[in-house]
Amino acid sequence: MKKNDSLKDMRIILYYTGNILVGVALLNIIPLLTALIERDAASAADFTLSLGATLTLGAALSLLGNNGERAGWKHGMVTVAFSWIVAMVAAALPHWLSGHFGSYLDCVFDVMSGFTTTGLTLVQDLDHVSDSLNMWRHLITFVGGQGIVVLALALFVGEAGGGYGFYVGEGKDERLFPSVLHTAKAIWRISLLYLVLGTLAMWIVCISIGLNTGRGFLHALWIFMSSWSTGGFAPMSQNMLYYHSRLFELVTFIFFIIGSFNFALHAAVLKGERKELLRNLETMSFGTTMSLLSFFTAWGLVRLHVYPNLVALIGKGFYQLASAHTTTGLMTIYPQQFATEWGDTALLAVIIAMMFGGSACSTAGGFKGLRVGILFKALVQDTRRLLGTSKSIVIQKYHYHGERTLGEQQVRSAALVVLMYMGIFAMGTLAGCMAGYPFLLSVFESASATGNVGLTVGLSSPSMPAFLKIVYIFNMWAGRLEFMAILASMGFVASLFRGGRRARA
Amino acid sequence: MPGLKSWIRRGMEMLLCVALVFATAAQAARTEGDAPPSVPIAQLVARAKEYDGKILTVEGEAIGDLMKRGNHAWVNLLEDGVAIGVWLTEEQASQIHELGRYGNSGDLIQVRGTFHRACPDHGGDLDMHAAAIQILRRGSKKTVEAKPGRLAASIGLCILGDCSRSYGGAVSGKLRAPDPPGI
Repeated sequence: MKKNDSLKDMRIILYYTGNILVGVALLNIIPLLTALIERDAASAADFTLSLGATLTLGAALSLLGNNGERAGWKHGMVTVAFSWIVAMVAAALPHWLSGHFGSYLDCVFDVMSGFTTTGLTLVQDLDHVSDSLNMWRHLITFVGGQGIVVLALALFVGEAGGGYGFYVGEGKDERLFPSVLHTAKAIWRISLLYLVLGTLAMWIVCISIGLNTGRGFLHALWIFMSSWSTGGFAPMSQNMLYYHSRLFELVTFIFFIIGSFNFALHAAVLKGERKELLRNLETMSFGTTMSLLSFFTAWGLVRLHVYPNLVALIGKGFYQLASAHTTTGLMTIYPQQFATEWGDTALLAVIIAMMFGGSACSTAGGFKGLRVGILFKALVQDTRRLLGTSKSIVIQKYHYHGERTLGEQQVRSAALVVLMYMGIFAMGTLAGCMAGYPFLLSVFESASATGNVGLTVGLSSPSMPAFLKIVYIFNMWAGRLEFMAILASMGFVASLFRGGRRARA
Repeated sequence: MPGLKSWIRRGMEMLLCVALVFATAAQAARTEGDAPPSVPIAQLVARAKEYDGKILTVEGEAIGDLMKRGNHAWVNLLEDGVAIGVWLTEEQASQIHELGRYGNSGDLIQVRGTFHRACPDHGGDLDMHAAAIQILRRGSKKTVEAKPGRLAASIGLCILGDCSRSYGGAVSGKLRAPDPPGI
């Protein structure tokens, strides 16, 4: 690569990263308005400071990189990986100014957890956090679920040349429309429609369980954002246990199940194609794995007499499992209860559910139901091949927005992503063990961070070692972007070094 | 013999006093022995199996919301970063005035009641059913003031950011190549 080309590429990446950062800066207006409405001058100053600093940084980057060139596929990929890191550092400023975090590393951990819709948190004294900071934390989760680059595409970037590179780089590869810009806008339209309806429904529930109108509205909005985005953040330290309501839990359950579905499936259902819901490979895969894992969870919990009746078994066992499988991370039990009460069988079922995750092109994380389904179909195909005659050609079909034939390339891609997930999951587990935590708990927490889940056995706390926080930040980031953007960035950085060495030679 | 009489009377009085002191001490000791032990909330959550179904005392700050449910209510008590739900009667709940939130410290409350690791009446929640509550200290409002340095910096940075963005937009207009047809 010539030196001039490298510089040109870097300027394009900086330009688009700057634009994305301006989008992140403007998001500060929502918590700022919350603080102003509540006459909370201290928080208002914090968010104005964050708005100004992020806006300046974003404008400076786009000015520095502005060379009038259009982005290509490669630029889109590298920009996504780079902008997620820059956005994480910038969006952590209000966290730091609030004084509720032990270090800036804890702040960026919380922000990465929010953007990736993981839900692990290192906040201290959450029960006394300002409404504006809670608004910021949940807004980050909501935006992260749809994708910060998808938002910037819809707002500023327009139909950039490498638009599809941006879109795929952010872990979404399903086009709802031929145009990426239209797809980005459609994703936001679907999410905003659900935001209005969902917040209204949750608000009614909040008032019915004893919250006052004002706080009920805020809690409804935040919990909806968290459920729909399969996030896992909550405004109170007890998470869902704070509300002591089965109705509240049921409504969140409905929203995080819907939120874990593919946006293409939402679009199909909204267009009246309801049969897709029952025939789609992803929903079939999710239904099958959820049923099997429910059986194992129930087996483990009943054998140990963990819960006194069926209502408790469903409310605790099934809710936690569904929260894990959809990679939401909302909890109706204390983290310690996983470790001290649930036993190995139920815990293992939850770990597997966290790894499988929700649907592709959704707000969920994990391997994704589509890949699990494809690998299962490939297994069936190979078994049929083995059992058939040597001359027979076995064609494996599956339904995914129409009938499709299983190809080698799809199986290879699915297997590679699953393999990479397993690799960083193993790295996270090893890091947990190196920090001195027991094996099973390290496995659980690593699966939660890698699959962007947010359930915790209590390892993720301000007191955990800094290196473990960094490993989990990396796992959340890599898991959310599904590796392609990260591999492209590594290749880009390597090419810069190679170019530099050649120039010196 | 008046001397002997008064000596006996004094002796009786002293004996009565000693008996009274002993009786009071014995009663105090018995009450002390019967009083349920006070357990930190974090310990209760961490060792829930051990305390399941026992009558205990917990102390903590009432936080968030007082959620009324029929003639009962839920309140959550926070102590050392760990909170627990307490199921109260309406009458007990009416004693709580301040709830801990941003800019507010809640009433410090002592609750005596039954601890449940997985409450059969409340969907398996880990909770306490209060038999009696006592307000140990009233909560109060806390003023959170804006720091003047931050205010000045925030205004300066917003102006700088806006100017940079406007300048960038102007430069971008000059540099940007025309869109290819069809996009």
